[in-house]
Amino acid sequence: MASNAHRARFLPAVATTVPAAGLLVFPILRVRPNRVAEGVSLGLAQIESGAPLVGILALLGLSYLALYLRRGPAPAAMVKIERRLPVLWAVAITVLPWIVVALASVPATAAFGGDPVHRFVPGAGIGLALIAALAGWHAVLQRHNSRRERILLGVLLALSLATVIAIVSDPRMAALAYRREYHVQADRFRQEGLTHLRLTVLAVGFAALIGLPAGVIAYRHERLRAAILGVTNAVQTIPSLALFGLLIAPLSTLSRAVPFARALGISGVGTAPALIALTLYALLPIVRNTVVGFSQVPGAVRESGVAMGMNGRQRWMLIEVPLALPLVLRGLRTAAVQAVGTTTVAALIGAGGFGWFIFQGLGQAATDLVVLGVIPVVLLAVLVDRAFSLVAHRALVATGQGEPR
Amino acid sequence: MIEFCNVWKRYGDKTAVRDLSLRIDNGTTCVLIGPSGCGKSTTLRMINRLHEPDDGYIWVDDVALRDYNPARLRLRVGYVIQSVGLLPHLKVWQNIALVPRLLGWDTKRRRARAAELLELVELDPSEQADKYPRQLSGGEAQRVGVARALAADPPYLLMDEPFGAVDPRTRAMLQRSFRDIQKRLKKTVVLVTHDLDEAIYLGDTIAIMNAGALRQHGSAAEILAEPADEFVRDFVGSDRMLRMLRTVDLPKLTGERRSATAADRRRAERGEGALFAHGATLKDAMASLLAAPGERVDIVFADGTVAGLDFAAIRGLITA
Repeated sequence: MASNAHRARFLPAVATTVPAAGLLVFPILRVRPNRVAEGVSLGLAQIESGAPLVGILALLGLSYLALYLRRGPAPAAMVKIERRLPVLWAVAITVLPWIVVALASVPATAAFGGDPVHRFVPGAGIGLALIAALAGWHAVLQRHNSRRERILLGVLLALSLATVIAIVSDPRMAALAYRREYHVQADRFRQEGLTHLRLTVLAVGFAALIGLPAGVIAYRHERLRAAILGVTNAVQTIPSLALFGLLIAPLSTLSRAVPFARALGISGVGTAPALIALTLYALLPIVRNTVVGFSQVPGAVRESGVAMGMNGRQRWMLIEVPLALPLVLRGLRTAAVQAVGTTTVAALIGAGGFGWFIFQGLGQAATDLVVLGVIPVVLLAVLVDRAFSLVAHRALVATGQGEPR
Repeated sequence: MIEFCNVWKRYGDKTAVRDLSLRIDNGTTCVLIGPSGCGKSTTLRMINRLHEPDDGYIWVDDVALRDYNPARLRLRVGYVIQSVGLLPHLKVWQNIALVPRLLGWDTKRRRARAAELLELVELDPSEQADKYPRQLSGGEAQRVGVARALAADPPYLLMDEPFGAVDPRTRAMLQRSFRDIQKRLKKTVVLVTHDLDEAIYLGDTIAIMNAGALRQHGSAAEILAEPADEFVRDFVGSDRMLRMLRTVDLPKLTGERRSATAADRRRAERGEGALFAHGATLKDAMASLLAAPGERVDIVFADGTVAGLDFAAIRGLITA
């Protein structure tokens, strides 16, 4: 049986060997003369400079060191180092591939002599490295659980990411395809980013305003429960694109018929249908978790509240709300993370957001533009997830249902 | 005083409580006992109005129960249940001080009261007050449950199988400390159990119920000596004379005594044909007598005197 600790030590070794080997075999870069041209893939053999090889060898060296240490009991002096090695690996696997890219890109793009449309994208080898880096951090974060270690790891992770960002935004990396795309529409990027955020926040806010009371009503009245959950469930089964489409006709009719609605900016396309659809989508996790959250409060605890002479309001505040809170928060978290993703589709009916880049990119067969839209959505989703999980943990500790880390 | 007058309670066509009349004097413990579904829990839960009688009256302090506001009533009636029902998100001291909190006491007074009660139920306040319920053992949780019920010093205490969910050793310890506490506090207690030994040990009176009806109400000695009918005789069992042993407290023994010597105390400590009277019943004396090589067992009293008991004396005590 592979113990958790064993796996935690073994994973980083794999996480370095695989991408290092990958960088030797798979392309490191694909250089393209312009946005749509196929371009040429460059492996290590095609790059004249020896510099990238040094980076790869450093990675390989680390993984061999890992394998060496895994064989038999480590010498006493090595134990302390060995304990920290997985963290070093995680940092290295995050940063080194980008250094390799940077080193490789300089000679590879020199031939274009500053031509402003030529570009390069990271190759399959770098993709492998990214996946390995995720696995590495996952293993490391699982292994180190104390508060001090988590803070330290958080700082290291942030530093690693900052280094990657510093490398990617270096002037010599201006030919990175996503930077080229961003450079052309930096203002648009910022604007669509704000739109994306606004849509997400408003939709989750509205959904919470409707969903929390609806959940409480559904929990209290068994007869309404099936109906409320049924409606929210049904909404969820409609594909998002179809729901956006379905709203166009009634809303444009409304807009034409009621001048006041038109004055409010309501029309068949744009923000109004997007917000309505996103809110409807966010309802299910919120309502369902609210119902479940309140339903799972133990009967004995409720009854002892009654028997101690609590009135309804006191039971609600002292027993039901604090005990339901963890699940209710989990519902909000699911709704928020999901909304970040679904908002992308809203761009199709003219509501904007990062989805705009994705659909523009798809239309123009410009993969780089698609990626420019995808990256911030993924980052935002991770950020929202982490933020909610922190808040939920705080709430748990504050209501005595979790240990402070 | 709690008094039931011709109380009926029905659920659909099932009668849970049938024409119940029962009087529980202040400062006494009344144990409701009977087979499952005999209506004992329903009876208990009518006292704090978790259930309402369909017919008849219940009087508490000469006030008709239905004239009490339920929430106000429950603040005066402590309640302990088998599953304890501690609030998992509150610390031990906050759980204990819950009723005082509802009564509007300030934090400092609540904390002090919680510490006082933890000591009463033989838990260390400095160690246990800031724990959460999930960090307690079953026995500790039950003690906290009792402490919580006593927090606002209610004159009445209702206990629904309070020691049912713990192992036999812990149960015996909990029963003993509850009896000590009750001796001091003199609450009016109504306790539901299905354990006859517990009823005999804890109850000043025992009310035996079957199919919703009260079959006999009296002291353990009365019931064991003279079962009112065939059901009660069957319920207390053919070994009822053995159970009688537990109804006699050793410290209450009277009769001729001599001064205890150091040797007597040493023998009592080692359990060699002698034992200390405090907290023990005739059953302990009997056990000691059966285990001892001789014909007598010496009882060492708290006031430094000793009395001897033999089989004849024990028989005399339980048939008296």
